[in-house]
Amino acid sequence: MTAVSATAYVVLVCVLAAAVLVGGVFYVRFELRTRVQPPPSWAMWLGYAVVAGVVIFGAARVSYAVLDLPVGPPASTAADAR
Amino acid sequence: MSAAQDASGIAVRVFDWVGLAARLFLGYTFITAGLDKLPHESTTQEAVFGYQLLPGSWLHAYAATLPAVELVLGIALVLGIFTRSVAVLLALGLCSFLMGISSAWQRGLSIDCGCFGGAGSTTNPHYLEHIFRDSGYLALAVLLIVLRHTAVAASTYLFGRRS
Repeated sequence: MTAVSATAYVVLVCVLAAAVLVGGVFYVRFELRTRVQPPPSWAMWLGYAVVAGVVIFGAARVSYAVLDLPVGPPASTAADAR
Repeated sequence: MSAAQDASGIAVRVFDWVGLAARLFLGYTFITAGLDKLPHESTTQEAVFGYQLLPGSWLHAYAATLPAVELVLGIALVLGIFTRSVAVLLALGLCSFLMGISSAWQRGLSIDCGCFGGAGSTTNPHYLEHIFRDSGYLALAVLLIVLRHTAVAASTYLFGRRS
């Protein structure tokens, strides 16, 4: 992969993140509907919100890093400097 | 009991044992990863630093927390405690690892993934191999989320419910 495909990479990450978020909504609703003794719905949605936050943060951070080349010194230089 | 119910019961039992195999494999993998990293916090910090994704002030906390979390989640999986919740957390972690590895590849970094210890730059990074491997782990985690229970789970005995 090269820097040329950075936009495609970010688009892919965003699409996958969106798929996870949408899939999560269906999953939580399915669990609440079909479980014999489901946890409280607020707990399920709170869990979903935490997961969604992590997914959105991860996608945003990776997208920023990929699009904002170069990001900091090369790893080898930075590691040597430490 | 009808033949269809018999077949359904057998399928459920087969999936229970498949779930157990997935639990043990994934649990063992994460216990190994946690144990490899736990005594070498500075190496883990260097590995995380190599990805150039987290701010420097986060490195210490992340490097100190990650191995312990991997260890605890791995043990929980092997024992079969809160299997589905643990699988959700592992799936999230694996997604973050996949994004880290693939973004490092995309940015042209040449770093050791640091998944099982190790860190720093390398002349021969195995990004594709790591992506396939972590995708396999992710598939197992998703399987554990989808399966509602697995065989020989401690939750069954501790809380009287199948996990």
